[in-house]
Amino acid sequence: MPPLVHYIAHRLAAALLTLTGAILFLFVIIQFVPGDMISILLGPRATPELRAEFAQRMGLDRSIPEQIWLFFSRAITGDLGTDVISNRKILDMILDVLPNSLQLAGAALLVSTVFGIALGCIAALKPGSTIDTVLGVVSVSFITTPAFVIAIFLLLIFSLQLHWLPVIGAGDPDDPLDRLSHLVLPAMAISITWIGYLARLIRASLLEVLSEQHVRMMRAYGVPEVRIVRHFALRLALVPMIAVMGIGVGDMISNAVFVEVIFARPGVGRLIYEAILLRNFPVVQAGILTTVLIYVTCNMLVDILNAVIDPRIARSLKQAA
Amino acid sequence: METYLSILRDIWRSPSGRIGLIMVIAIVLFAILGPVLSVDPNKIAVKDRFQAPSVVHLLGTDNLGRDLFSRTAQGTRAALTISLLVVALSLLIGAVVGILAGMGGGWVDRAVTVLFDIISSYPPVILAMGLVALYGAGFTNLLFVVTVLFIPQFGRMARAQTLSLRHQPFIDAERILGLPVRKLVWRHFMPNVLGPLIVLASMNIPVVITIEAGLSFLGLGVQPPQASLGTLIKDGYTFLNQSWWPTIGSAVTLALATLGSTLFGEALRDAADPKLKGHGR
Amino acid sequence: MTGAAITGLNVAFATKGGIHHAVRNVNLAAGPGRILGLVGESGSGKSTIALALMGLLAANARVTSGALQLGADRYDLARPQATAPLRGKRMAMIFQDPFASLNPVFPVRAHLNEVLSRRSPELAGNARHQATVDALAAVGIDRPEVRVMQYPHELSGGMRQRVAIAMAMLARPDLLIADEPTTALDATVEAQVMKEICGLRDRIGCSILVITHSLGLVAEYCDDIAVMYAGELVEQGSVKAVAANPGHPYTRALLACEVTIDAPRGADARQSRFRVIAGDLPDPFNPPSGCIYRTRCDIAIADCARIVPPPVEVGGNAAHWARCIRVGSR
Repeated sequence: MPPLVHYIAHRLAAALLTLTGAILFLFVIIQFVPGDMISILLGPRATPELRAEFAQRMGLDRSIPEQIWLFFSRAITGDLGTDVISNRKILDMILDVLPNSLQLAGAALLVSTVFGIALGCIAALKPGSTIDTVLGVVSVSFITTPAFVIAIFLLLIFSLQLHWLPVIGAGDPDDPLDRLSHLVLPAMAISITWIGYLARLIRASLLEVLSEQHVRMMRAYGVPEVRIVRHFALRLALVPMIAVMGIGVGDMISNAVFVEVIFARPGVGRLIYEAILLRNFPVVQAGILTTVLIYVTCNMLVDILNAVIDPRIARSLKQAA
Repeated sequence: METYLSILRDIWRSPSGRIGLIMVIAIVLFAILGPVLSVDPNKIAVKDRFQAPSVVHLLGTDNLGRDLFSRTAQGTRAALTISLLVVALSLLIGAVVGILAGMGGGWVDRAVTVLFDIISSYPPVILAMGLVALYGAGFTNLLFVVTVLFIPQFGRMARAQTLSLRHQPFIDAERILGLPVRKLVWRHFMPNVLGPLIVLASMNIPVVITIEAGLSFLGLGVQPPQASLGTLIKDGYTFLNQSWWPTIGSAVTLALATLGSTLFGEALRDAADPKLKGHGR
Repeated sequence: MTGAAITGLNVAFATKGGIHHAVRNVNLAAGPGRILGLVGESGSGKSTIALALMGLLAANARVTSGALQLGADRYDLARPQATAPLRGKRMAMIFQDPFASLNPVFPVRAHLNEVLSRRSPELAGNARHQATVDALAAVGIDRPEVRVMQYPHELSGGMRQRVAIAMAMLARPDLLIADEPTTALDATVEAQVMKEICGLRDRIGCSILVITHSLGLVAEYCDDIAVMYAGELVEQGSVKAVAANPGHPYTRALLACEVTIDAPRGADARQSRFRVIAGDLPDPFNPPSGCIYRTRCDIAIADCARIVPPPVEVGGNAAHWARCIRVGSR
């Protein structure tokens, strides 16, 4: 079996294992809630009938292993229960808002990658110049300002003051242009931090690659500098970036919560948040499981992408095995 | 002692490190002295609401007429306290667990690694929100929740350091001489592990500040009447249409705090890197 | 084919301590189809010469004067990028560390294709692929059709260096520069790689400049030898002539330092005698007046401090010269 296929299989198995662990972890932390578990999970609407219903559904009278099995199998099959407030299936609630969150995350990923790489390259090609210093300062400011602060300022300036872009919501589902205009500010808010981070990373990585012997070798063979940078150096320089994209996705998912709240945009993050305020834990739990699933999947995909671009990675796994 | 002084000197010498150090000192002074130098932060005077900065109210007033300067200083104090406590706690717990895992090996090591991986498989804020939903909000809960988020990072580094140290000859020598495990940990592993962990800690402080502010902004962290930069921003955000001032003061302070600690942390890492790695016998 | 001649090469580095004249007034000649071994200690400036020829010097280095005569064409090395058009066409280079010469995320064929696309753009598709496979076979790589698709980390150091030689071969240069090509390889692999380099000379008849610090390598594989000391060329001639009759005291000392395989050895390492050259390299910012070597020379006289020695013919052989005013004395 070629090393890459072996690697993919390995990563898939690892992801499934991690997911299992994460689900079990959620079960465990629920058990350790101080005080009356049902009251905390259901909140103020825990009438005796609802309590009985809930206890029955959770199998609280059964043994712990049975409870674990119930919890686990439901999570896997997507049986997330019914919302006591709206009486909708929680799975439907999630699926309703999931596309918005995915669009937001996807847009943010795209924007931050494109701009991060671009700025990083510009800085690396003219190290020590004014533009490099300026970009450096800008990058650091981007990284350090928290995303929700950026979101508020973007809202302030571009929506409230200049009225260029809409303030709240995700836009008319049938009008792609409208949806796009509602996507701009939230996506920017999330990506700005990551743009700064990637710009610095790419700059350092590219500078290092450009000083390596194989680049000199290409120069010695008369390969034009443009081609060296764009074709040969960049691919190698991007390897460390792919490695951190996994954490980047996690950061973006985290920041998406704030951004969805600030821009009143429907999404999984906002769903979790509002459920917490209403003390509606089943929805919170469903939302958490969804985001964990997305996160673990993205991490796995990033690892695989990493191995595709850098052939040394798959090989070291095979050797260690 | 000289190593620490020379590290400080290196930080001072680098331009970004110097700026970071100055900003950090300024923020700390602001947090400590702010409330002392200004008006009572909790004094409500609704007739004075939404004032722009003046001599009396250096950052203006909020929606209830409270002085923003002292409230921001309070919030900064909360941010610094929580971040330092969280970082210290997660460093200690992570160090102990990581060292034990690295030394113990076998199933202990595997269990710890799996636990770390599980915690890391949650997007940070999501896990925090889940824990808050279950265990409630408030200062102490916030501490606990955010500490849990950071233990894996410190734990992994401690474990890696321990693993690389473990096979060094001087450890074997001590074991042969009969040194008890406890002493082995304290005298040999801890000093060597602590160095890089402290650098990691300094790089994490801005992250903790951001997470705390974010959670408080959502109302899931520090609760009123305690002030946090996050809650201040939230209050400001609610009244954005009426006045910018409540938002600006706290938002800018938050940005400066994270910027300053980031610059300082990076300068510390660059200065300490070669020095601390070679520490220990 | 043509030959390569370097005249009056001067390279200066701008450093914190001042201007460092790393290469001073060097004249080298590599005959057509001949291998010239350039020897010297670390820091003698030999790699700088190679980089100056290719136009790949660092940003703080400048060629203050010098010319490269390649066959009938003359290139002014003081002009930046003077030899840039020659790269990959009339000049090629093999670098020292084979583990760093190939881009790890590109397969072997990508490297070879790059050379071919510049040198032989008329080759395309299947023909080009075949050319890459043939090139690998020519440098002694087994299963070339498999190797050509592999990534650098799947090849050993010796094989990677052969890939570098294959790249040079595909470029069909007039001048090939090999900068310490075997320093990072062990002795048996060194023999194989040097054999391929010599094979290149036989195959395309180029001039080869081998930069090395190993006299043994030069004696074994090179036709001519040039000796560098502290940035200056002190002797040049055919390997036979110089080995038999070294004209410069430095060359003589170097040869005497060689430990022959049958030299008597004491039971205790401390008892073994080693010849060394006493003294240190001169201060690069403050070189001695007159002859650069006089502070360590065993036959230096008063005049050596006044005169910068010109090349002097050695042993009646016009192709063998040494820069010493006391050539022939002991």
